[in-house]
Amino acid sequence: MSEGEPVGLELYKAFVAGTAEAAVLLDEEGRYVVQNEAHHRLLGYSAEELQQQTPALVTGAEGWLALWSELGQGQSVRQALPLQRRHGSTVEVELQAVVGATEEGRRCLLWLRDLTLIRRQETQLQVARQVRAQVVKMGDGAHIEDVVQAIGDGLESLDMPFEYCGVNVLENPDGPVQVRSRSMRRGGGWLESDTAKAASLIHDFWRAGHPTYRPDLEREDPYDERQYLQRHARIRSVVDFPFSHGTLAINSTLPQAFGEQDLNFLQELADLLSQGFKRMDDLSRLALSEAQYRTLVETPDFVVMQLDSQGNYLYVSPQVRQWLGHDPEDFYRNPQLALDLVHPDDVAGLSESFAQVVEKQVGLSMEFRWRNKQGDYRWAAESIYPVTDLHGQVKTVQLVLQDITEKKAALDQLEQANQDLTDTYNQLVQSEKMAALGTLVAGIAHEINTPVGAIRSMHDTLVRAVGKLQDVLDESSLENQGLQRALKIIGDSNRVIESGTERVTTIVRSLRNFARMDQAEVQEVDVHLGLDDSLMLIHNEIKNRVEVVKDYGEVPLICCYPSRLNQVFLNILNNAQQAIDGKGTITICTRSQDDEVSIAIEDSGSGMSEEVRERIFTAGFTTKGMGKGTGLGLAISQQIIQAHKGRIEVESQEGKGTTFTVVLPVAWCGGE
Amino acid sequence: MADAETVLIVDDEEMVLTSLSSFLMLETDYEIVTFLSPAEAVDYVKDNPIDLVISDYLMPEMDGISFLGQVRDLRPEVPRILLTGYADKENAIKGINEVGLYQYIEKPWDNDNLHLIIRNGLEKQRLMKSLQTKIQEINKAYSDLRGIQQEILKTFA
Repeated sequence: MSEGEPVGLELYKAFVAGTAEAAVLLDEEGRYVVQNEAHHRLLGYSAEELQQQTPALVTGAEGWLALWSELGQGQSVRQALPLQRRHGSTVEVELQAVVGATEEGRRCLLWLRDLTLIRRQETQLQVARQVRAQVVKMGDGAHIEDVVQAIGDGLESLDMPFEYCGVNVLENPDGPVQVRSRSMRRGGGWLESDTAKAASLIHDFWRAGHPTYRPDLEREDPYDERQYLQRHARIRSVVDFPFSHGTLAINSTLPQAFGEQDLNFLQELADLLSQGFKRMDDLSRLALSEAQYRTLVETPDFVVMQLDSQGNYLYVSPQVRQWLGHDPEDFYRNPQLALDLVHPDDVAGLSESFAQVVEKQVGLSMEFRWRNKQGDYRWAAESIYPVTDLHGQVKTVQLVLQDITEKKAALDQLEQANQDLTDTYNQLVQSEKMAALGTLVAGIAHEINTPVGAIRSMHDTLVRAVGKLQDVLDESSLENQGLQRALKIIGDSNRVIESGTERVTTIVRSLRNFARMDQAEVQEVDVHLGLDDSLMLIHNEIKNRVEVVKDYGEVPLICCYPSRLNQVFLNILNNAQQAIDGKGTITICTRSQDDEVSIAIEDSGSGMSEEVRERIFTAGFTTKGMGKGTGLGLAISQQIIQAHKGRIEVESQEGKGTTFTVVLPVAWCGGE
Repeated sequence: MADAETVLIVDDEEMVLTSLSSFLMLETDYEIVTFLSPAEAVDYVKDNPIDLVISDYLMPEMDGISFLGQVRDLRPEVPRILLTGYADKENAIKGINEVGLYQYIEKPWDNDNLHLIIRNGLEKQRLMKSLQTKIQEINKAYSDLRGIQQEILKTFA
């Protein structure tokens, strides 16, 4: 740098040349010294045209004088003002001026910033904001019209020379093309356009993935749409911006209506639409999956609970209210509530399974009972499984609970029904056997009856005949020794035949009474006869071994099915004699009290243990060993006695004997 | 009594026939006719008068009810007694209604009781027979009377 050179001035000049903004340097009279390229672009004047001129050229003389005088007093000025461009239009600028002293005297530096551009950018920002606001609302039910309106209003405020702006939404991007369009005319009004024709074209623009700009349809109409577009207005230029679900379309009656900045801005709006529609999709997907989740979680059959590993409730589905009468909030407030409700017998198992799930991180299933607000216990089937975080720590425990009270009751009933069926089947088999036996006995009795009848009759006749014979024989012949012996033999024979026949007759009568094939109806009977008949049938088993003591009281006739009651007596008497190993006693005691008749059959046999005693009425239970007992005798006996509205009581002492007491109501008259 | 009364017994069991007939022959003067076959017995009844019939119920050829039914058709005035096993009691009762049994006797029977029933049956039969004769006589007298009445009416007409 040489001596005397105006260094400061050169610096000023360098600044003007270097800055990106419009800038000029003025001499001490305010005349232009130098301008930069930006200044030229902003105002349109060449360097030659500015020579010897002051900024009054663009501000007007008055404006400049005011400004200049202001600069004369102060150091700097900053203000917004309109400037006249060379070709006549005005431009709003922010002017900044600095006055500085140099070796060559005062110099002034001016910057100009195009406020139109900034304002436009600000407006664009605002428009984008409004469009975004509408787009966001779309997910909450706002209509596409509101979005289009926001875009149209925005473009208008930006003074964009458009005629129509609209949004075309492809309804079914993957299938046959359908388009829903809403287009708004500048200044208001909706275009009722027939978009069916344009649908495939819109689809093409959408697929292109970049804006399709037709700057002047009257010079070039590549998609043959001039006819169609010019129906309502003389559209010259049109541009389509694809977005996620369709296109944003703007047209204008001006050719080349949209500059680069316009197109960039419209692209921004299209991007906003993409975001909006995607958000809407996400929302509806979310809503769907939430609905699915809810239907899953809040199905009336299940209650879902989520607990942290400490046992605090994070979530309880509202169905718990129908089930237990408690609100989910009750569980949130009181983590102990659930355990308080659980049946005391089930608490331990439940707590342990929870601990196991947390510790071992395994899923478990179990059933337990808990109490509803009415105090009834309900059965729950529970699946309990851990939810772990990335580090394998149990974060929460998930419970899925189902009310299985009814199901369980039904299952129990089913099991009971099944058991009843099995019992009934066994009893049926047994009663079939009894019926068959009865038929056999009856048949035998009948078969024996005829010869017995003949023998009895014949024996009687023989006795009579001998009597007559003795009558006709005279004294002398009676003294004949041989004849006397023969007559004695005949008499002895007759006695033996008589007693033998009596025995057979009694057995036959007992047999047929026992079977009572002819008496399948309710009758009034004397229980003693039934007992005697039953005893007769086991006579062979007990003779010379068991003493039978009959302590028969005054007992009224009772209503019953005689053969079934006899079956009970036979079962008990047979058990009694079998329980007696060797010699012993069976005592039969009958009493009447309060419209009831009791028949106690006591044996001096081996007795039975408590365990055996508890099971003797169970069908299929026997202590007699294979082939000897069916295990059905007492089960059927109890069934029969219950059918008569009576009961069987048992007392037994091991080693001392057993007493079965059958108690029957006198007044039972059939039916249940 | 001039003629012995005839009792017909039918049973497919020889021993029953023998025991019944032995007893009756010993204790009564009845003429006893026995048959093992009901069909042969029917043939006998067609050609010979009888005063009482006893039949077993269960017989292979024909049951006692149908046999007694045929006897009733041939000789309605003859008392009919059915001999039954205990299990056939219901059928016997049915028989009383169907073929008009005089009585049924259950096996094994008591000889005295049997005798009583037969005697009463024959007594009844005798009474019926004499009643029949009386009725016939009355009928005859009545028709004679009618004849005379007709004659008188003709005479005075």
